[in-house]
Amino acid sequence: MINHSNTISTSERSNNERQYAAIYASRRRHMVITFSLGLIILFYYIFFFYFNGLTPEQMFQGLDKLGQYFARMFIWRNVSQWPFGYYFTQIAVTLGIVFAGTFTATLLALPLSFLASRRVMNTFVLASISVVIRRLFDIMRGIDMAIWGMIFIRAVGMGPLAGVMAIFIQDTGLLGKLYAESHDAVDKRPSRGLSALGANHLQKHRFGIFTQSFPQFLALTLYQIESNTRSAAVLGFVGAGGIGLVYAENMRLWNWDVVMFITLVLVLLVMLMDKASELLRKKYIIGEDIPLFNQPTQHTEK
Amino acid sequence: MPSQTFESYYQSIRQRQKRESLLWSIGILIVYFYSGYLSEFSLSVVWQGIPHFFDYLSDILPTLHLPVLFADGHTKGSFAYWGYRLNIQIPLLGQTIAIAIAATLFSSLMATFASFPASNNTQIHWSLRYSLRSIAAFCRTMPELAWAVMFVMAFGVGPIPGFFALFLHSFGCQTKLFYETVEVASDKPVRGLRALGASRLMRMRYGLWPQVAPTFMSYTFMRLETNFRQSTILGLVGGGGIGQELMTSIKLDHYDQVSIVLIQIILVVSLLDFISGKLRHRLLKEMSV
Repeated sequence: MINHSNTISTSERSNNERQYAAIYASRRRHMVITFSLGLIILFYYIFFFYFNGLTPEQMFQGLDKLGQYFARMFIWRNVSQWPFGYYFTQIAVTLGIVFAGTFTATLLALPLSFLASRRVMNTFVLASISVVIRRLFDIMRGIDMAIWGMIFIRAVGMGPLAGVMAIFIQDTGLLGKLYAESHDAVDKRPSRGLSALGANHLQKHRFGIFTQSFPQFLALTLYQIESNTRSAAVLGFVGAGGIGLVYAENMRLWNWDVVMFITLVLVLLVMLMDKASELLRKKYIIGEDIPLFNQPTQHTEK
Repeated sequence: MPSQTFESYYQSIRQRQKRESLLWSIGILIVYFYSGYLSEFSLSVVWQGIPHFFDYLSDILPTLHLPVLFADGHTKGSFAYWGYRLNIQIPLLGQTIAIAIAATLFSSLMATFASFPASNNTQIHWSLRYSLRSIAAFCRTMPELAWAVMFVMAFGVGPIPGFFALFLHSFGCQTKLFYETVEVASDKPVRGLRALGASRLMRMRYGLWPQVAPTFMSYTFMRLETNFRQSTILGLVGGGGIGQELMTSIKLDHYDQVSIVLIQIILVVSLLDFISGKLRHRLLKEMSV
């Protein structure tokens, strides 16, 4: 494959083709599939732009405006007069919404995930309960956070509380489903051993399943906190509190420099959270070896 | 080491674990309560709000009367009356799906090209690597609605601004996932190719690409689901698709239309979820063979 084609003579090549017919055939098939997929995708885009397209005039005007927006992003004016206190309070409120929503969702999703797990709910009646709960998760998760935000604004009024409820509902659906999948993926043998020792069902689930799915549980929760920090900004656009409001205000006022500043602060914040979750991951998800009784030296050497 | 009995050893380990879990619980509780305070969480408001929430849920349920269930669109209480705007909503839903697919494919393609220079094991100059990474971080941290507002201001209302907004946001997310995948790929094939005198591009194409391609595909399918969910809200700011319809229905209190749009969204999300789950499963199977 690496040889340039000119280093193989034609006769050699045809010889190769005869000898490794299967390889060449599979390569040809692969090429045909790739090529036709590429064509389909190309046609899809042509149709997409044809039906929804912009006139060239609109396109150029738009690009011109975009250029202005980006230029304004990099020229910061009147920085000393910016209400930094307000910006940082709103960022703190966003973080508050994320933590409150995700933790509450974790608290509810963990018990529900056992009820949704195929492994735990293994008789006919229980299995039908688990199907109902899984459908419920689908509904909670299928509707975007911003839409839940709009619905909760009707219930609890504008403000961060609606955002907390929106994250809570969406994450209960998402985390519940993912936790249930991680409960289903565990090794069966510890549970069998526990039942041989006469453990009851609750003990089997706690020690036989949850011990194994705990790292997965922690990883998913950490990831979700991080990803919510990024997506919670949309909540402010619909009036559910947080930094999105600052975005919306400043975009309408053409303060693109503020938009840039806030995005950079959020980038830094997410990076810090990434580092923190990496530390936690090292300590609890990969885990430390606990030396076995009376053989501490053997283990540490290994 | 007979100086220590098993019991005392067990107790010492257990003590340490208990101490750690106590510390963590206290820490998490403090963060939890403080964030509750920041986000103005109050149980009394939630308690008062829950009935409103369920009221709203019962409000959006359509009024269906059994005897006239299959009557025409002018009879109150029939399916046709409930779905009288379906001829407008279904094309909008199709538009949403089209935006999601277009944004996903294009962002995955771009992220594939961006991820190789952005990962630290392809011997690319560090300045390119860090600039690509920071562009990706910027793209994914700027919320997709902010991108959408920006493009709507530039190009006017329609699905194309929605497409660009979704594309930029998911390009940022995909690039990160992709370069992390490239970084954990084995470098043995790369070293082998290097020994044979392969160029840098060939090392990426024949050494790394075959290892990461299935994972890239699987991330693309996952992204499709996420993008569909996110494209439903692009309409809130004029980015096209079903979001516009949903927002007008919620704001103007067309209760029965809210429920029918939500049902359509949930159905499509479940369907996409099912299809992409099946495809990813097949992919993983092929990978293990």
